[in-house]
Amino acid sequence: MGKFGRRAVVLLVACLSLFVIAACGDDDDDGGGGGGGGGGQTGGEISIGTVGPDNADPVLWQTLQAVQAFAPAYVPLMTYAHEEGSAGAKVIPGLAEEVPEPTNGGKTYAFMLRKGLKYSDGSPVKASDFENTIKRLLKLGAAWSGFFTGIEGAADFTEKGDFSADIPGIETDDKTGKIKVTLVQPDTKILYALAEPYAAPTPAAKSPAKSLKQPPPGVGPYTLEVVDFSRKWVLKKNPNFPDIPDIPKANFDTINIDVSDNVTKLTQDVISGTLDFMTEDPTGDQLPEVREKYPERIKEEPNPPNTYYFFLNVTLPPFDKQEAREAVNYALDSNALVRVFGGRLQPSCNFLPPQLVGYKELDCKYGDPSKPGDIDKAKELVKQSGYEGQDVTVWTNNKDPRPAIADYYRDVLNQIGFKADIKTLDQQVYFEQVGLKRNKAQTGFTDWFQDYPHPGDFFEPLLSSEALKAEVTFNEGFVSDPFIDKKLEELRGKTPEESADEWAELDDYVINKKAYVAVYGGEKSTSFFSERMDAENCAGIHPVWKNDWLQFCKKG
Amino acid sequence: MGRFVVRRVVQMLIVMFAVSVLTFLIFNVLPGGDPALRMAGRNPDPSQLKRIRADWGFNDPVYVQYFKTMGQVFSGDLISYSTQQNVWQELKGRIPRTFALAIGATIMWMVFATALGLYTAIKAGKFADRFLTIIALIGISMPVFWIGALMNYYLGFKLGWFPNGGYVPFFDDPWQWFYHLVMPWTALSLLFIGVYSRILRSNVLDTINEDYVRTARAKGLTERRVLINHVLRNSLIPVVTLWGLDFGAVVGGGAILTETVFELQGVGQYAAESIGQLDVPPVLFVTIFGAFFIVLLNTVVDVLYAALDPRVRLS
Amino acid sequence: MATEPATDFSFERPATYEEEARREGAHGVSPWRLALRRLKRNRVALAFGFLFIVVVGLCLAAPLWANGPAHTDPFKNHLTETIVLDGKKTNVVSLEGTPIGPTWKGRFFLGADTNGRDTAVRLLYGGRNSLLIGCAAALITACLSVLLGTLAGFVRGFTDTVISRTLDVIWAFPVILLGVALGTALSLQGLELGPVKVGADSKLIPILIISVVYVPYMARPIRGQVLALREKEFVEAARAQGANPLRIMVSEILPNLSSTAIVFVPLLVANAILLEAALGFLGVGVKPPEPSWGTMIGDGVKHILSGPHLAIVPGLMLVTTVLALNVFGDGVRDAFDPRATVRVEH
Repeated sequence: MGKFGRRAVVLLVACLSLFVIAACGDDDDDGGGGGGGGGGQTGGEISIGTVGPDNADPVLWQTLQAVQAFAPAYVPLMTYAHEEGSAGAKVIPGLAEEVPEPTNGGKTYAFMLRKGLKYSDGSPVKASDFENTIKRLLKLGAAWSGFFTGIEGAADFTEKGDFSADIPGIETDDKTGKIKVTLVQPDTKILYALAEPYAAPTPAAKSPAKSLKQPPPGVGPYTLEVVDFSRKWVLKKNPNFPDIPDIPKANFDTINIDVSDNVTKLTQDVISGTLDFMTEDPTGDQLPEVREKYPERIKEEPNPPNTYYFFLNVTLPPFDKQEAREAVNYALDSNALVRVFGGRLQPSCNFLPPQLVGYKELDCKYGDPSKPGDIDKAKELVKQSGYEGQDVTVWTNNKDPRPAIADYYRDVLNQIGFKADIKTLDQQVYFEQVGLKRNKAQTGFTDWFQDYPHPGDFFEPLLSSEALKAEVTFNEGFVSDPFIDKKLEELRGKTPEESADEWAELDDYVINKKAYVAVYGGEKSTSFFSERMDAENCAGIHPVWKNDWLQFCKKG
Repeated sequence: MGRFVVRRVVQMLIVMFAVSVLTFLIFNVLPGGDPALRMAGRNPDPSQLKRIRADWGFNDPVYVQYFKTMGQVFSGDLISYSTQQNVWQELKGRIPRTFALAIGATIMWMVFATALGLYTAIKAGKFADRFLTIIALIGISMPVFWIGALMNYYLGFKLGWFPNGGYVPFFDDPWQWFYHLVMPWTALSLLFIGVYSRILRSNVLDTINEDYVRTARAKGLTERRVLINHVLRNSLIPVVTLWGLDFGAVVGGGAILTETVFELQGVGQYAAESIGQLDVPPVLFVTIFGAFFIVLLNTVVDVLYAALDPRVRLS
Repeated sequence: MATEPATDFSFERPATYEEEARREGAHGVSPWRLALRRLKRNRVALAFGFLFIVVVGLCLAAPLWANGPAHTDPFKNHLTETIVLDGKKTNVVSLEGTPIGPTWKGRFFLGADTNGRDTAVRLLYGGRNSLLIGCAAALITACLSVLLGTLAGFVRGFTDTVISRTLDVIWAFPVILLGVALGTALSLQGLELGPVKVGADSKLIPILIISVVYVPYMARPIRGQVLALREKEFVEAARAQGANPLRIMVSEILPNLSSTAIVFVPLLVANAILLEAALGFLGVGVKPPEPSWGTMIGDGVKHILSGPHLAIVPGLMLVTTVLALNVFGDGVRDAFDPRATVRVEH
């Protein structure tokens, strides 16, 4: 063997050893897939596929996938009813004994912790832990902290940044278990915010002022653990979970949460039974097949309540003229968009989604949403606006099917007399860019999924002048209308039930009278289960969490 | 020889430094959005934003941010903007996947390319040669993501002969690990088989006329021994060095497309996702990692050449 | 192995060409004429070269097809329309979002995509974009490479070090990563270099990115060749005569590089088209609503279960074009430089 041969062998050996190193570096994933719990309805394991919670800290997550994983492990003072459909929007007592009526002119809420509550690690629940959680929300700059800045002293606390400081608006007494929250002004939204898992008390000793890589103990039917952030999380039955009325106990011993970006693969796994459920919708590509072959395992509902619309910037041409905005509303054909959504769109022209209190089906001025658009009328209106031939850029992000939605919209704008083109941004950066005034976005894609079942959650961030004060706003149309602002001010202290008609009026104003936005409908999300799960009775379709995993059960 | 190696290693370090600076500049100087806004989520308070910017150092001048981030790269404390998780932790799980893809593909393409190259050289000018050469050229002309997606669809989904993408770690199930990698290996190899078989063919045809081969034949060695011991070995040398460069390129980032199509969740896919999200820490880490491999293998190849050919050392 | 005379097939043994070159060179035929003669004899390469011309022609004729039999343009969404297929009224795009496949008729000859756009029309217009970007990028790479390679190889010293190290850095950067990084970074606000402003949607951006990425692959061999040429007698002679370096570069060095450059070009175009497709697939190439083969494949792969034609059609077109360029490029290389070890990475 000459010199050359030797060197070739050396390279081959090096190559093989790299292979060995590669193999050794592989981590041990637990195989997905259920096991155990054969005949019975409770106990055993199930596996849920998801693109994954976005953060391991209970106050920092932001996505629907995250709330589904955290809700079974963190019960807050208040919580939402564990019922399907709109009944799930009701606020019921969680760790507190009852839902309080506000006192002090609507500004103060007093809660009483139930006796003998323990966290999953066995330590007792203290009233002061609640204040600690709110402080974390504020100090760590959580996305949800905006819901709590209405508490007295909260804004100051955030400003000063001293975690050990007290928030005067929250008074707690560890001996009696009493918690008093005082707001700067009456606002019924606080109860809804306090019913979300991010407001759940966690032991102050294990919840410091920095972001956690592992979820701390909480009070819940399950405990949540991160095994490998981008591959596997797990919910285990909590043996220390006390009896709390209306909060179901754990149906399973373990819920495996398998994280993957590949929705196609997740769908295949639910089809084959390797996974029992997935938090994602099957891709438009696979949906027809799933619907055809497994109709009894899939449910489609416009849930959580949401609205999809195009924002229209009222401070820039051409949409500073109402004629131009109305033209868009006349021209849009929801049926075209239904196809783009693979059938998962429920056409509508209301700003509020149908499941919300305050929704009243509008008599659409621009035509029945289930009928084709009126291109001729739209062309007329564009001419009237004087903006015929105007250049318009449609903004969108790259998450499916938004590019396709934007392309349809661009085509429609061209048909009615504008010169439209598209600007696409990555979905991670889209909303921070499109809501910046200096970017001068004329129109584009946007959607809004409710944070909690209150109409104010739609109008305030999306159409109020107050929302314009933020550096990046969700009021991408820069709508600033004193009528809307005054109405919102009036309705802030009232509950949605008592002011339903007024909310419906506001809806009518925004759409029929002013055409501030161009709504085309609400997205229907899917709940797709494996063969052994009871999709019919235990789908857990919930208006706040999308799917309430505590309601899942296997076929009996 | 030693001096030569040292010189090349120093050059290697300089190049990697330059790559890291270039990456950092691309994402910080070219307008890239505001990570603080992204981290703050919906409806951020101005005080929130101030906090985030202070904590992450976004207000510091670019070069300060660069050195801070590079420090984190080496101390293993690098945190992603998007997920707030440790970048090295994330990468640790992904490196074996990319390596498994690259090494397996490499072995596959070398084996097939050698066989194909040798065969077409022996049959030079005949129909088999022309036909197989066109096939090789088709391999070079196909985008790997296209053929990969088609294989995934037809062989994986429709016919069910192979799994529909995904990766199974070796220690979970060696057979499944292999089974899941066959299609990605094939897709990635097709391109290189085309290129390498033709280079090998041309090298073999050159060597076959060399004097020492004629001598070997004259000595009475069988045709086969001549072929393998003398011709093949000498034809392989330049190929092996080219292999080094390509392997480096694949690990360094060329695997992106294959990993994305087959959902292997390796380093390449991570890079593509992070770039799209303008998530600078993982991008920086992965580019340095990739550049390291490319430069390392380039250097190894250069050193090998120098060892074989003294003229190169002295230039 | 018997020596075979030069046949009509290009993949001949290099030794044959050497013999032939010796024969013909003795008669004083210029190397260019020699090369062209060889190329003309290579019927396969010529056939594929012609195939490439056909593809270019088809794409240039896109408006004829669009305005004629297809009755549409590459941007129109026909989402809610119906056409008559086999006597039945069919939705162009079903309510579930499934588009029709090829009809083999004037309208929707190759089917529709999920936005109801005519695939055949988009294929041809997309081809224009892909070919434009490929050719422009290849041309820019060739020019830049010759410029930088010559400067580095001829002037040497500090200039050489700067240029070579810069090329090394670009070379070390994983090709796709560099392309994706630049594409993403530039997609927000475009590029502003002093007075020159390039919009984020401009096709100039993918062109520039692809050209920059491939410069090291050509500039290095050019530099190597220039280094060798420098030592040749005619250059020495020119220098002895006192000719200034610029003149020497232009009149002595450049002409001798021409055959290398010519050999590189078809391969560069092929690779540029492939890189453009890769960037389009990853979402950082040509920006919507403009089509390109890469973005069409990217979209098609997302709908491969409900509409396989969406990925297959642009892919086949791409493979055909690149194959034609590769075979023709091979023929050019064999004709001009039979012993070349010219190779461009993917």
